[in-house]
Amino acid sequence: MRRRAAVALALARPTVRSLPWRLLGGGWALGVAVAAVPALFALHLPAAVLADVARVAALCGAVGTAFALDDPARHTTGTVPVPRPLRQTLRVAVAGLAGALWWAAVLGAVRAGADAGTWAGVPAGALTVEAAALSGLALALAGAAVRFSAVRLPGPAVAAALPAPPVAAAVFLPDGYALFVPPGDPRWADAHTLWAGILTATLAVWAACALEPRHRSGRVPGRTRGGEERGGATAR
Amino acid sequence: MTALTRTPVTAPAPPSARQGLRAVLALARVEARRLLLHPLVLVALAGYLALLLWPGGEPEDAYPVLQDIDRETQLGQLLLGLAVMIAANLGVLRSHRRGTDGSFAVLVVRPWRRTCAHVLSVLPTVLVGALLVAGQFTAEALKPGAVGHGSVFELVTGPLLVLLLGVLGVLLGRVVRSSFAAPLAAVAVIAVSFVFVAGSGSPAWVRGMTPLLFDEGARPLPSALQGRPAGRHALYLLALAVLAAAGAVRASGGRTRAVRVTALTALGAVVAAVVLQGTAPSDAVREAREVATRDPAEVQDCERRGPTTYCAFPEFTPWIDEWARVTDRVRSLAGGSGAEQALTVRQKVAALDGPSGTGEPSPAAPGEVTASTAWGGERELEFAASVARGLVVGHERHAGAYCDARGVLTVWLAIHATRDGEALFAETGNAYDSPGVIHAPVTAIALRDRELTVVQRLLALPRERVGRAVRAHWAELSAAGTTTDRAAAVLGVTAPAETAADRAWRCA
Amino acid sequence: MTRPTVSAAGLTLSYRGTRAVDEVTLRLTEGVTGLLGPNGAGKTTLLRILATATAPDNGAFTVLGHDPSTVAGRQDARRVLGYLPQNPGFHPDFTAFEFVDYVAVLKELTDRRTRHAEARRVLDAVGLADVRGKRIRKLSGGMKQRVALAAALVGDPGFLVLDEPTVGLDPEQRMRFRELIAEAGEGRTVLLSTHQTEDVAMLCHRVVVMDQGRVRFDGTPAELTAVADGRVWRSAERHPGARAGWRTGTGEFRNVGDPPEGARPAEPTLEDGYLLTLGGDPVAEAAV
Repeated sequence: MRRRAAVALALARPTVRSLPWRLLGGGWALGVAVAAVPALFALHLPAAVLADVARVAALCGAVGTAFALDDPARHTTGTVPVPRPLRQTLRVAVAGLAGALWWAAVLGAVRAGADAGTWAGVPAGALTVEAAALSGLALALAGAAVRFSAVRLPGPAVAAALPAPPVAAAVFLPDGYALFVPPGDPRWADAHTLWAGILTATLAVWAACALEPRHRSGRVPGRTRGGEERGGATAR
Repeated sequence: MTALTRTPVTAPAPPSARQGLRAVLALARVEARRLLLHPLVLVALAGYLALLLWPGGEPEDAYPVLQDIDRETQLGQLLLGLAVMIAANLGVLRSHRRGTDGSFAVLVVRPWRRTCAHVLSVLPTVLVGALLVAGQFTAEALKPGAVGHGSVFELVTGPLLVLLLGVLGVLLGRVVRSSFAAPLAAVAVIAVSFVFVAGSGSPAWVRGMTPLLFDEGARPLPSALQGRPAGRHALYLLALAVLAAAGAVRASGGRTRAVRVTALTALGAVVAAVVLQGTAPSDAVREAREVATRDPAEVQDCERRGPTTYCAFPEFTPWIDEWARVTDRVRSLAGGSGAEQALTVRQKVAALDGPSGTGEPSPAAPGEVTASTAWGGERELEFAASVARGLVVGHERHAGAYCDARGVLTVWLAIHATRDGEALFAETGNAYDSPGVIHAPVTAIALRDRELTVVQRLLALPRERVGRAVRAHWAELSAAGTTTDRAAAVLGVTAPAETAADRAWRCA
Repeated sequence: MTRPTVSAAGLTLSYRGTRAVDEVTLRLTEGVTGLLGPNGAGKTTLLRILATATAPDNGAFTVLGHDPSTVAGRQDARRVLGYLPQNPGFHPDFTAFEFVDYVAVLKELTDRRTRHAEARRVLDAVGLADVRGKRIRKLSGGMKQRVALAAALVGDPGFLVLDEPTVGLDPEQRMRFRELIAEAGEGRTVLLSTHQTEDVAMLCHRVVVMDQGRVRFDGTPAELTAVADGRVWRSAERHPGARAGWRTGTGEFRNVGDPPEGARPAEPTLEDGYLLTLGGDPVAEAAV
């Protein structure tokens, strides 16, 4: 355990250096820009629209988060004693910390564009859960891409696919299970139970994918995934 | 070994412009196929089709108003367009991402020609989108209950959106060498179309610059009153697509005069379209809206059937049969003088704010009842309530809830005059979380808990038995001042005591 | 015979029903072992299995006494092995030193001073002392390859897995790499996958030939060359029965295959033996 802690400590700096900050920052910058529109143009939007503004900003952030597991040196550092869950957790922790600051900036920007009365109608806590769940979705997709293929940079594909699930949810989910409900809606509490569930599920998927498979695992780079599932390695 | 021995071949002729074009077209075909079969586009198409073909739907869907249906095709196209934008962007960036830029750099087909091919490759997907729109609209127009006229410009807006977004994806790929720009752009498009401009009452020219002109009003309007700058918006989208295409070609080295001229022309068209959109609606449309709202009789067609005269905007006359069916049913339930009383059913709109207006029309003149511009399901119940109110109360001015026999009678008539009236009555109460309220045109008809309970008790009794009592006591029940207790007694049920909540209502 | 340091039995791994590695049994000893085979023979897959990057469907192997089929065993095996993948990737903004230092942390060298010393040592060993502080994006292909080798050498692993390390290097760089690999082979077990038969001839004390997932030959380079004894000949025209034949600089054809009566024999090379092994019987295994 002490060894793990020492490794984690020593890894902190290179992890910070190796994250694709430009891409993460790009998504975050657009998110803040979107969030700042009501303030910049003095739009005086109602709380429901401000909540949607925060959601769009959250989606921008999630697109950035899709790149958090991009690691060009994946193969070079693939067979080291420090296990993958520790390496990925560190990456996610560093990105998450910066992401929390970013989200605070987004909420600050939204707040700056709202009168005190309107801001009171914007449930910042619940929106934070939504934002975390969207980023969690990006993380789960990226984690699965890393786990089930030999890809080094899952980011582009995940970012491309990322807007699809929220849009599909907005279009297809029946009224009773709507996710994007306006503040004050009677379904608000139910929707946010669902959001919390999504957050938990996506993080669980990511965590499960971070584990290195004990049996049949990676694929040769450049080849796609095999269809069959075979038994594990048996010692003879 | 012979395979590798150099055999003299006729030297290829220097590439002519025609051959260059052929190469671009061949490349466009390859890219178009890849784009159409891109997982993201396939998923979007599958989702779109699932949405179109999903069984069920509202009873109102059987009575589409085509001037509203035409623009309803656009939302799905916007979503398809977002997928196409990301997929086209990935297509442009493929050679960069896969590290083949180096070997492609020396090919005969130069980068800007490849960009042309990418732009052209969007067209088949646009065509698929257009076919979907055509299919969707045709299916609606063929429904027996369909009324109104679709606009070609509204219908082409969707496919043009796909084109514009696809070309934007190509442009992004040529300007930003990262596949990360397109998803962010998609989010930005969502923000612009759904959050900022749709949500606020922006000026017309700002609204016109967003991909979609949202107009979600309370009720459809006759097509002449729409006043939507659909044609100019379509021009705007097309010009913007051409401008983006020219920009993409230029960004990849195509600095020919033709490209510059195209870009400038497109820019001019974009500016013109934006300015022209700002001038909509025209004065003529404003005047027509004024007339239709204040004095609809001037522009309506009327038809007399027995004691009832039905007046509708010309496009909506096919619905007169439906109105007559419900009206006759209310009359037959009412019996007595209610069956013979002369009545004019007049269709009315609140058109002053255009298609996104949410106001209600003004109350009808005495002896007239109001019909709206929507039909089917709850709309039918609402119309039945309007007719019943015309027979029982005789006017539509808002004066509060009817806390007496008239409220009970009106709602009972409306429910039984409508197909599945009971279920619709429960549904409409649940939907607005306001049991006992029917959103009849002009003013809603609301029951207090006390009257609602009486109605529910009446619904539990055989209709024939209550109907006989209604016909026998029509004059008494429809008179102002007959109490709820009396009505309940006459009709064979008991009324609960008045509660504190009941006393809080303002009664007519 | 020396004790095997790495031994594998019955290793099998399939993709979509094709066996990329098919019942491979191997015993590696100290020194450089060459792994030859055509593209798609399963070399990279076998190397990935032995480097613990992929788990086999079937079969077992040990690395310096550790059994990677358990989590703890895999950790232990990874502590003693170094792996240079086929297309090594880097964080382009790291300097060569930072990157190797990063890999050293991942190999659990947590004490800063020893770690830095180790990073400097391996960078010196691969001849990159001068460009330690340069960003990897600015290094040439050969230098990048050497950074990857340095990363594999961190922690002085007893088992080194090198997947085509000399691909894309110019002759001079290749020479330098041979020196490095030969040095690394002293006191270590090195498994070197390559298409360069010269590399094998010059470096390896043993050579394994794979084709279609199976081991076709396992022996010394001399034994592989000996497979072609009497099966290389010269002629004025390409011989129709030859498995391969080409016109050499002298204008004569050099044929490999089954010679006709009275052919003028030529000196066989390791490459001739390799070519003949591929076309030959399933396992032309020479006595070891």
